[in-house]
Amino acid sequence: MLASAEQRQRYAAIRARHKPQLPHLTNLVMAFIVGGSICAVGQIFYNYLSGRGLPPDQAGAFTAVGVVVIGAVLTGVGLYDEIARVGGMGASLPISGFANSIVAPAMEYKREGWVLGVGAKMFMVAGPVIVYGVLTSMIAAGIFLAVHGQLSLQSWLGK
Amino acid sequence: MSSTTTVAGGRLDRLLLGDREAEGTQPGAGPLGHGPTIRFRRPVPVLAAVTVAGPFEDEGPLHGRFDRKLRDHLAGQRTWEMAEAKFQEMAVDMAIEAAGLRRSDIDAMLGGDLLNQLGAASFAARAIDLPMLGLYGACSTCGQGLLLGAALCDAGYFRRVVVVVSSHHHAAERQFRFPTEFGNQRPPTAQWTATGAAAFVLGWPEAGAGSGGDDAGDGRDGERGRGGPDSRGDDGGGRATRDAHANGQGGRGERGTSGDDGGGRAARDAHANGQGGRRDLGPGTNGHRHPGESGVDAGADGHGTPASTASADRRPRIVAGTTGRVVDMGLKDPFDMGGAEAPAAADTILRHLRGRDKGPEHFDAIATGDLARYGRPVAEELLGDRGVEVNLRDCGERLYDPRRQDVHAGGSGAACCALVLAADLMPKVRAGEWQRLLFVATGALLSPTSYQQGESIPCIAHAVEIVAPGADS
Repeated sequence: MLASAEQRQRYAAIRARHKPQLPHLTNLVMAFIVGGSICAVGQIFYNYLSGRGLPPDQAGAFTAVGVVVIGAVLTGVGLYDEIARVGGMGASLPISGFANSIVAPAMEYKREGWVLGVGAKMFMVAGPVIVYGVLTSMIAAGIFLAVHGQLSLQSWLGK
Repeated sequence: MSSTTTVAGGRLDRLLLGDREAEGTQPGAGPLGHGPTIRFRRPVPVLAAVTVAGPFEDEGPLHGRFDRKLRDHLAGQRTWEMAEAKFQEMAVDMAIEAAGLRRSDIDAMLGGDLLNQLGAASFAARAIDLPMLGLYGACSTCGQGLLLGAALCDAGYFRRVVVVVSSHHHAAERQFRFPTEFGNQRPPTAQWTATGAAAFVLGWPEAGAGSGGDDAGDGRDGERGRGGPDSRGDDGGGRATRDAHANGQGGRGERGTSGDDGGGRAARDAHANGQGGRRDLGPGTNGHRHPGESGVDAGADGHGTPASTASADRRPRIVAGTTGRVVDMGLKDPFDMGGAEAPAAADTILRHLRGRDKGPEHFDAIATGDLARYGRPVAEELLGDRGVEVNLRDCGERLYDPRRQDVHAGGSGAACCALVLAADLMPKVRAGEWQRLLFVATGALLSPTSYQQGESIPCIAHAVEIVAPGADS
């Protein structure tokens, strides 16, 4: 039986009365702590590498690699999902969360083989991020081109 | 609870019962309760109920009450899916053993799980090598299996069936949600898919083990049949028994005089006989004549009076059931199964009460599974609106300890209510602590495809009425 629109509406009201509110405050605080901690680790990396004389863009790239490795390792030992359960977006948003979203399916689908499992499913979570990330970049680049007449960021910054 | 609502009874009547209310669920619709509510002609004994639980499940309030606890989620297998199949295999073997039977004594396995194409049940049946009927009812599979199993045994087509259901947290996560190690935050209404399996052996007890035992059992059955009012100890006696009776007393299986018993079936088989067809006692006492747990103490009650045999049989019996309707109230949140399933549970409970012409006070407990913490109050409110004031006992709230185990709203999965039924509820019925239990297993019949395509969640609930040894049917 599919309820009529009226019945659905009435039931939604009954349901809403018993449905718990999302613990927004707790989630926000935990996301701040977890996300902040991950970023602090990244900052320690960056400062260390810069201190050893690496130029800023290279230090930034190596920092990203380091945080990705940490995310992948923590996923491999089964800790990252626990961190994300508490930290929510604070754990998902940093690049370690991106690493988790690729390593987790790779681990999960290894049993289906290297091609149809790992190969096909590895980007099942990260895939949309990449697709829409690239799409968004293209749109942003288009706007940039339209406004500045050129795509060179450095020349724009240099102005 | 009903005081808080503004919904008029009549409106909600439609809300829950729809237009088909008048069709077949009215009391007195037929002597056998034709329609979705079945009253079994012969209460079907539950010969064994056995559980295999995952390590996390064993940390919950039912710690130590499972028949087997798993050390890990793989059970020596290579994949979650094969591990789940292994759970079913273990549960079936243990249940058959607990019933004092062998695989050859079981006519069919009714198996179900949450995996695509019933992965666990199919592979379990491959290993067990029993004739298999696969069931899918999502988390309601346990209720579905018990209802169908009891109907098949009562009808006489099968002597005994084993009903087995399972779920596996990781296997379900990867199929319905995300890879197990993927980090994501779940809302408070999310439920935790239980890992484990439960198997139930339903049907008529074998009077002995092995062919020799069969013969001996026949002798006893025959004796009992002739000797006393317990005219139908032989109903489930198996092939050998039936053959013996065919030789013996010919076919006087008055279906007409006792439409509500097993005589009709026996008569049709021409195995029935004086005993099988004559129904001196009400169905309520039938079960007493089934031999005790081990099957070998059948002789103990051979000449006993019903009063003395009552103590010899400690088996709960399934006396009635109601087939669920698919109810879809338009909810779409796959992380709120309890909310989606509550109307289905309320609908089935109402229809069962109506079909049985009983009030909620008729039952010592009405257990739902798995509405969980935020779904159960909704079902209670819906029932309260219809004048059925009842405190539901939800299996999803019973399997885990919300203070120590971070499962959000509670448990779910086909194994959840099956584990709670076999490890917690059924023992209470067996011990006589409860005379009458209404077990209402609920399921959300969504698939990843359906919710990704934006469909709302269709839900179902199947009710099974289980009574204590000695209780009226």
